[in-house]
Amino acid sequence: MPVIQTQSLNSLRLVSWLPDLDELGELELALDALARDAGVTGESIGVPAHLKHTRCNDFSEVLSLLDESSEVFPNLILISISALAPNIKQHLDRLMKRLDDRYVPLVLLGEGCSSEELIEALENGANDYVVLPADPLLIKVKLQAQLRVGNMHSIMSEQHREISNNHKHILREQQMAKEVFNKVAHDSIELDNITHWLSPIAVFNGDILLATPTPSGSLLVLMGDFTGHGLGAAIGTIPLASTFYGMASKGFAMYDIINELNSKLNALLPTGVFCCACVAQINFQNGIAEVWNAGLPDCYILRNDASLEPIVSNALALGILGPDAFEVESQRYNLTQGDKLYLLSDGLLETENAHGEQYGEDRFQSAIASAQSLDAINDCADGSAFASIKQDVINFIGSQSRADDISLVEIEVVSAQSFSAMYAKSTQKKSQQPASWSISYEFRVDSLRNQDPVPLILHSLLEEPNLRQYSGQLFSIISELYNNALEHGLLNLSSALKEQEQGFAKYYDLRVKRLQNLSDGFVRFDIDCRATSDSGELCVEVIDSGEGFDYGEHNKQTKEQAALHGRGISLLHTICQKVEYVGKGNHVRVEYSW
Amino acid sequence: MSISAKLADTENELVINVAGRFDFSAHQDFRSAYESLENKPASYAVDMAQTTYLDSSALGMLLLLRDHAGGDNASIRLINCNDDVRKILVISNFGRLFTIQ
Repeated sequence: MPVIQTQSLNSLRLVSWLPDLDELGELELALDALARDAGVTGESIGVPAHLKHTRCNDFSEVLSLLDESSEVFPNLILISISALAPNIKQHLDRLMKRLDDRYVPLVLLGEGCSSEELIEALENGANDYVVLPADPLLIKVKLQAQLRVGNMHSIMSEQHREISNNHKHILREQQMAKEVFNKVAHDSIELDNITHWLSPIAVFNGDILLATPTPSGSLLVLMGDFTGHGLGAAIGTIPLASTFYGMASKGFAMYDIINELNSKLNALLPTGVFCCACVAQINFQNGIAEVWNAGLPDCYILRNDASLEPIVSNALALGILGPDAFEVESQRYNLTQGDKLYLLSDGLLETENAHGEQYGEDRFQSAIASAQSLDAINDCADGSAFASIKQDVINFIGSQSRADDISLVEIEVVSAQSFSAMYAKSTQKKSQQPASWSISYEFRVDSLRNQDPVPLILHSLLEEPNLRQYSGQLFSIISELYNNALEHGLLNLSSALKEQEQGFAKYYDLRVKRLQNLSDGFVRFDIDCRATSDSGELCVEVIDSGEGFDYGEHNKQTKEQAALHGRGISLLHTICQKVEYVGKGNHVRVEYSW
Repeated sequence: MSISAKLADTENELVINVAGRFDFSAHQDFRSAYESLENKPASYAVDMAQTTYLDSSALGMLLLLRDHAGGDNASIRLINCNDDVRKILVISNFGRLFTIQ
């Protein structure tokens, strides 16, 4: 695009080609007056200082002055009609072509010219004409009027150029931000039992889908929808996603994660910006799903018997309430293999067809229902059901409408074994190097009182790639060992208490009280790891500052016998190859190999 | 979309009337409807009798009003909501923050 200089009325760069006009006195007077009006009259020789008048000898000279490189690019062109005649159109076409999208007013001068000639000239690009002889004042005001139009045009062109540059700049930045957003908001969902449809984002639609297996072997999913669109909506996704993945991988409970997400968004986002979300944690081992719906439309559980159960929002969206007022009450569902969970944002229900009708809940429910019967016919879940729901929405909105605000995810309940296989598949990326290391942590009384050390230990264990696929077992080992050391070793709580009526509640009340009053003590973890890509051994020793206990028979027990004792210990026996107490009983050593 | 506001006879309640779509385009007008008052009224009512549609930015604007009106101590009624509007307010659990009538 050629550069257009902003012209001003007090700078007159005139190009003229007037070969056959003799009496130009009136024109000269008009030009002098024009220059005087602009207040730029030259002092000595009567030539206005800012009037640059280039007189051309032929048409090609005029054209050459219109080149982009021209030093005297004009803001007004004067040509006599008789010089153009009889090929007025051809001349003007060449001139207009040379000007391209630049605008320079062209005024024609003529003596005794015909209406036909004037009409042809005006129709082909000339802006005005003056028939000579004429009053110099009239010539002057006509030229002034044309200069004003030219000036306005160049200002507009300049602004247009600025706006379009800014626009390009914004698009570039948005493109960049969009790449980050897509990575943060939608990456990492590569598990075979999750199928999703996330619209290609026009700019940013503020929808976010996060899913990750947890160390305990469950699946944690979050579907979120931030207020509004654009960067304002997308900006919250980054802290949301990093907190979600960070905490989930360290084994924090869903309840803690939701609380933290809320606090973080409440602290970071301005009032009025929040995130409607549905968070679900599915435990494939026992078939229990905990679901928390905060402001999203009804999500659904589609059961094997084709019944559809809505999961209704019962909470305020993330980021609205401060941490003190915020409470998480999730809903619990028992699921069986083959059941499906659907999470969606309101964009799906509100998407419109050409008649302005919304897709709506009723259509969505029947789409799920017919998808279910399709699955029943095929007798397999191969994603065809999901595809048919998607097709139903696309058929509804038709070809003209855009589907740029749709987020829908289907999670299928599978067996715990298949889920861990899927997890292993999704993490089989890098080759794993042999490793050998040891690490030691000692948690003292302040930490014991105020923090849960399990996520911290687990986090450092899972830094080791060889260990990641065993995160579920590791989580159990570390948390059982820690709880035993704390509850029995330091707090002297007896498991026998739990067998009494309301014993559990009493036990945990006592746990809280004694922990608050604990004035001294520690729990130490010594961890030793030797691993190759397909086998390895992890040895965990836990020593607490407590009294210990008489473990006499414990070490000789078989797995069957151990099952009669506390569930924690029996769990350890199930997972670990070796569980033994040493010293006075405040020291336990377990070996886990794979 | 058009927003109008007037003080109720007692001058203790500001009634803000939102007609048409209550979405981001209402942002400026909605805000100035309550910010322009010299004295804060004791309570507020948002009259949605003529509100056809409510989106999440409108929910955000209601939260801004709540902040302005004193946060947890604010007294704000959302009145004359039609079924669609009410549904959105219920899904969002705004009943905990506002009196929906």
